[in-house]
Amino acid sequence: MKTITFVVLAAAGALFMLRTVRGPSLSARVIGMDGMIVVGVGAIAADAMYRADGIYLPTVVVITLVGFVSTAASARFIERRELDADADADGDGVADADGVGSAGSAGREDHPGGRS
Amino acid sequence: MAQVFVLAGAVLILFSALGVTRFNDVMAQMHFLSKATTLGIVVLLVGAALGMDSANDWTSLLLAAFLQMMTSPVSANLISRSTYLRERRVHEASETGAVDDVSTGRTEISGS
Repeated sequence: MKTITFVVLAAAGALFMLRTVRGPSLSARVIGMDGMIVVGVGAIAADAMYRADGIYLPTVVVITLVGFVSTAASARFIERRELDADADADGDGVADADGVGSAGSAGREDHPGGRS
Repeated sequence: MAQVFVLAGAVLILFSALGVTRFNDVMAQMHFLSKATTLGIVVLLVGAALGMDSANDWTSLLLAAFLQMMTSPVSANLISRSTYLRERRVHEASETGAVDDVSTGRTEISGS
């Protein structure tokens, strides 16, 4: 029972990590990270129950709160980052904020100050 | 009894992870993350609280379950709202940006 529980939690964490690595948008990556935080909380709680030792249980409460704060901060970041309209030059939903995008840097070099 | 609850919560979290991995829409993923994961972690934490003897331990686990139930809809709403606003803004920028590019190019050429 113990082994099955932890194997199931590890599989869930691996799937959330797959979504985090492969997610096409930033929101999908935030969703995957939130899921991994939940899996970590569940693993700590299950481990505390199986060992009958509650020394890590304040960590469960703290990780829950920190996970919520991180998700809220990520949501604010997603919303705030789109205020500059030229962050996504090619319009594929992925912002080219780092300047290495396909159409963003070339367009700015060809037409300096063209799209304002 | 407690181990059955913990295993059921872990299986619910695994189903949520399967849904998050299979669906490619952010709103569908948020649907799984906000409902199945919340139910799974609450069942898991309540099951772990049933297996604890000390009052300090199971009150911590029930506090964590309560906080998870309070904060999970709020975070799901924040992520969904920011995703919706970003997609709408990207859509408008792609439409008006293309029109502006073509129109300003033509007016500049015809004016000069």
